[in-house]
Amino acid sequence: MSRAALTATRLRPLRPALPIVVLLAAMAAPYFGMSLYAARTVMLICGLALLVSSINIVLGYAGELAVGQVALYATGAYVAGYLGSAHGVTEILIVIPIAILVVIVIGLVTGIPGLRLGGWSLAMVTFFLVLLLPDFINVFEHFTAGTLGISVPAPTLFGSTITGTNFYFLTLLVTALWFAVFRNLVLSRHGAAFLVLKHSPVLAASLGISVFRLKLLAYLFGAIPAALAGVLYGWLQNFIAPDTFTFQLALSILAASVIGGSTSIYGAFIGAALLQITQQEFTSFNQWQLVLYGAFLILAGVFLYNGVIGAGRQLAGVLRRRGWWPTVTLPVRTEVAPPPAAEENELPGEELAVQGVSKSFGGNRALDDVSVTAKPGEVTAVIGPNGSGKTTLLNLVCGFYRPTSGTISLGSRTLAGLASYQVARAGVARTFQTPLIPKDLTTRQFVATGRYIGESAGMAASILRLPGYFRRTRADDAEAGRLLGLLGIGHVAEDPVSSLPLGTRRLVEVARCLAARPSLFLFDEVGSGLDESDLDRLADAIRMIKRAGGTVVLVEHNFPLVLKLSDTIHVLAQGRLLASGTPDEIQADPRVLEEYVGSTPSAEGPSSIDDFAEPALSQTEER
Amino acid sequence: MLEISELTAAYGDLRVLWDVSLSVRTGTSTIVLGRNGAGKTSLLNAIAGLPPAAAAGRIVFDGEDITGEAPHRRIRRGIGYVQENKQIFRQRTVEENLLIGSVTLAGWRRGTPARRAALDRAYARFPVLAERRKALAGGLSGGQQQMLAIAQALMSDPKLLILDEPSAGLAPTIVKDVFALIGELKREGLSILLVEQVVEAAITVADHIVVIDNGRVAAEGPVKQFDDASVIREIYLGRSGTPVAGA
Amino acid sequence: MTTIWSGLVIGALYSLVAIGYNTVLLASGVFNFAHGQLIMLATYASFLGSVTFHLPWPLTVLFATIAVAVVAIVEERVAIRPLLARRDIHAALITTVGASTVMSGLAEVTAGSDPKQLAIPISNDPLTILGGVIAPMDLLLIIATLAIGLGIHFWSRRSLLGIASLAVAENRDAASVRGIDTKLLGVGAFAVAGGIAGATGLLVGAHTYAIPSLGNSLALFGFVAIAIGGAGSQLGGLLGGFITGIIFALSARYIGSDYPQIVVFGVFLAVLLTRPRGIFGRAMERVV
Repeated sequence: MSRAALTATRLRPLRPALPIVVLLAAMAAPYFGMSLYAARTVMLICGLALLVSSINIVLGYAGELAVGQVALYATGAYVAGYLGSAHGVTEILIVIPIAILVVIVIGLVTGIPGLRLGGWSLAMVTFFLVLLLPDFINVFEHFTAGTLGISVPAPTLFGSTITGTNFYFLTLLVTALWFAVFRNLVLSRHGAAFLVLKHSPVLAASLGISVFRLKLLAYLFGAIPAALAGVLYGWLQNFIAPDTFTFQLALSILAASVIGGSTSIYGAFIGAALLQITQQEFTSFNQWQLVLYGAFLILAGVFLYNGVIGAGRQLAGVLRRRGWWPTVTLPVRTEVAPPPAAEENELPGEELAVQGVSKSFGGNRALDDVSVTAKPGEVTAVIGPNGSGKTTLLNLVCGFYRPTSGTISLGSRTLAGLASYQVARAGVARTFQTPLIPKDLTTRQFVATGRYIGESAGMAASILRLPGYFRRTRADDAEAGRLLGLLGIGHVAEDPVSSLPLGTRRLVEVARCLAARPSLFLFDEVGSGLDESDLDRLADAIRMIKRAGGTVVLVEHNFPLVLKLSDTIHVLAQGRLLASGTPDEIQADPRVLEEYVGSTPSAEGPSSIDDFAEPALSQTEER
Repeated sequence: MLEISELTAAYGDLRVLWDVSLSVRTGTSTIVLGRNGAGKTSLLNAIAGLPPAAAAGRIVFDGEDITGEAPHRRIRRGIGYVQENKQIFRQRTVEENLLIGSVTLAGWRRGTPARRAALDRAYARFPVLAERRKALAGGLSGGQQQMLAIAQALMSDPKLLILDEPSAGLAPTIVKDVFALIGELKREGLSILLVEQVVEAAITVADHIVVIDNGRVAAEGPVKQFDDASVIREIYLGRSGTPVAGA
Repeated sequence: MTTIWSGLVIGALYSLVAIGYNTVLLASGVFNFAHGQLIMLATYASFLGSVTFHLPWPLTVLFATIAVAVVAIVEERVAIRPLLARRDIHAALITTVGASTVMSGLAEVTAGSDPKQLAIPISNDPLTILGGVIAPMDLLLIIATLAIGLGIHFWSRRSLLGIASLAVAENRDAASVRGIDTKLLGVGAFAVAGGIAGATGLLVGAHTYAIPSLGNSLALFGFVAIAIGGAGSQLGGLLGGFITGIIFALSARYIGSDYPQIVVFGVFLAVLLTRPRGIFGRAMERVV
């Protein structure tokens, strides 16, 4: 269990105590005879840490590689320089917002095309920004003074000039504020949404998250610290020239990011400090630095994706397992599990109507004129052998495919044609054949992601930790805990969700669906691979949803489970609706038995096999 | 031919097979039955060298331990694997698909005598493929795709043919053709390991049956012991709701 | 016409990068960001052969071919193979950038950042062809690129090995259970890509000189070439490279010397925005 305990420690929100102590110590240092050289080093580390955190948001949380921070950094510096030297605007509260605005515009222009396909596109677009920097500086010579460089007047705050120790305080303050914002965002449901997105875009979409928009948001959010770093750098140096903003710098902050750990918050400081100090102290390092950065990147990609902090955690894990390191036992939060007989509150079930839907892939027709309705307060099952089109039907309802013809509606709303995240927002929650379970989340946090779109605490509220945030988060946690208890698995609420066995994962997915309070539940092969006791618990949960008025569609292979639970059963075969009826009718239908077992029960006369004697038309179903 | 002893296999940390033992004797066929998610495809993948990887136990083929060998080596030893869902290369033509199946034959030119002979044999066995040799495989009908998948696996001249639900998504008449073909291959001396849902059809070609449930062998024995189809129906339809007891 | 010729020469460089990208992409599903650096190393290997060792040109080409192929194989072994075992191709975003950084860093440490001129086997006095001026080596570069691009395109469509590599690109696991040694094919693709880079090093270096900073800009413009041509299409990459080169040369000529990269960047963004699968080919979305 030590491993689970360890991971739980990692999941526990980092207490802000240590960073605050470090900040106070840095604030106090000037009064204890800190040298100018040391102060300058601290300020440079702060700037680098801001840049590194910019990479971390995009790489560590949104799972995309963006390396254009150097260009945004330069933009921040040039905005400060231009406003100060050409217009005499040095007011911090004006310069910083303008710099942020400018980098967000650049972020939009590069992020929208770069994120269309993701992967290398964004990396290349942002690398390009770095390459183009000298060209842009020349083209905008009027603003930037070209290769000559530009002087940056000292900043002012409400008219009084900020220099020396005060500027040191300013740097610390801006950095601390940013990291507070970053931490608050990441340790909120928005951070959980980022982790879901990174693990599985499909899962994210089925939670109602627009993958593109959330990635773009992460990318734009990540542009802010780069601008801050640039402005601070300009003020610190009092002069900027293009030769500061190089490929080499871009690669070095990427290396610092992976060294400190891309998914950590304060690891940025470790990476930045290592980088800054080795650069300052070892001249021979400068010659070899590219080789070392590259080697670090390879090593990090191959071995320790989570950087020094991650490696430390791994090492501590090994030591703990061998008993050489004390195991932190978390106080197990005693879940006040409601009695299993507890009932779910009323669910807003709506009627699903699939009418005459066909779907062709190329020349192959996977579904042919299928009509199915599912009513609130009932369990409707769709069964059929492998390759009969069940999953295709499910993917059509969820918006992963568009029907070739036919209509799909939920209540009064049309679903066909909506994107998958829009379908989720319209009130459809689903589970997956192979449960999609992200890493680094507790079960409780994972279940709470089901509520992400429902009554989300806004991003601003999360960042500022407004009362609304605490209220929402408490409500989310309580609701997630209640649902887990309702399904009889309240005891795993604080375990990492990725540590759970398959049966529990399926129940957790059901809880996640319940958290969204959807109008329609889609359960995809929810019973497969479960043993009898897990199946019983699952069946209880589904009956409970039904009693609460939810609309349930079971796409299922497990015939006994379907017979036990369903009000109506639809049988698909070769993409067509073969039969519909009550469990008793279906059980008595010889054609169904035939499809399943291939047998023609002797007494029941000739089969209707000839109805299907035409070229097979099924297309590989995609999961 | 194939001897699996106490095989345990996992995707990373997630175990899907426990202590599975089964064997396929030369020239005979074994069918694996079980509900969805029982671990049938995982078992076939583990035999072919795809994930899940063996965590314990041994896979012996033709007297040699092949546990842990790369997939292409196992194929070169004489295992042909027809994956589920008519796994072919949809963006390549029929003939290219067959050629891909022939890479295990000697030589790297596409026109070696052995390769031509294998192509001719394939076209003789599946005239419909000969007609459409220049067509993109993705444009074939479901039944033709399944034939192509089998033909492709036969190109390497295997001793053991593994098939994963060759009937899935096919119309009953085509399913009959598929099983007629499997019976024919068996008569030609090929050993067969088959995962199937359409039990009655599968039984016509089976010598030995293994039932898998929850990643474990739930029952096994010669096909005679499963004569009473109700036993099998129980597995799928679960009238009694419990897995079949050992045979 | 001189502008067109110079666009074709620059374009040939980008096409060569695109060919290298596609060769590896098709056989192993990995996007090798470091390919630009392999070409940079090829110019150094050719410099070593032609200037330092005074080798005759065929030996220089042979030396560079082998040397860069070996580097590519080492890169595959260190930065790609471990990821394949873990089935985590996503990390290649980091490791190939790392490999690229190591290569340019090593070049800078050992050879310095100044450009080095290669010894050229033939007289390089400019020729006038079709009313435009072009250096003979540059003309050879264009011809060689066309020959290599078309050759590899038809080879991958026709030969058994080429078809096998397309099969791996379509479905790695399915290819491996057809008996294809996917690992060997992956290494082979890196070796071939490295070998092509090495073999063309003398022609490329004659135009660009050997300089460490060459790799990064080639990596980017080569990517623009496959964004235009469609990732995974050798023919598309070849055309995409020449189109990019001509856009570059035309904007340098008619807009101004600060603009060509900006214009290409604008075209790149527009292509990503409107034709994310490339103008010619179908893209392999899962990779790029």
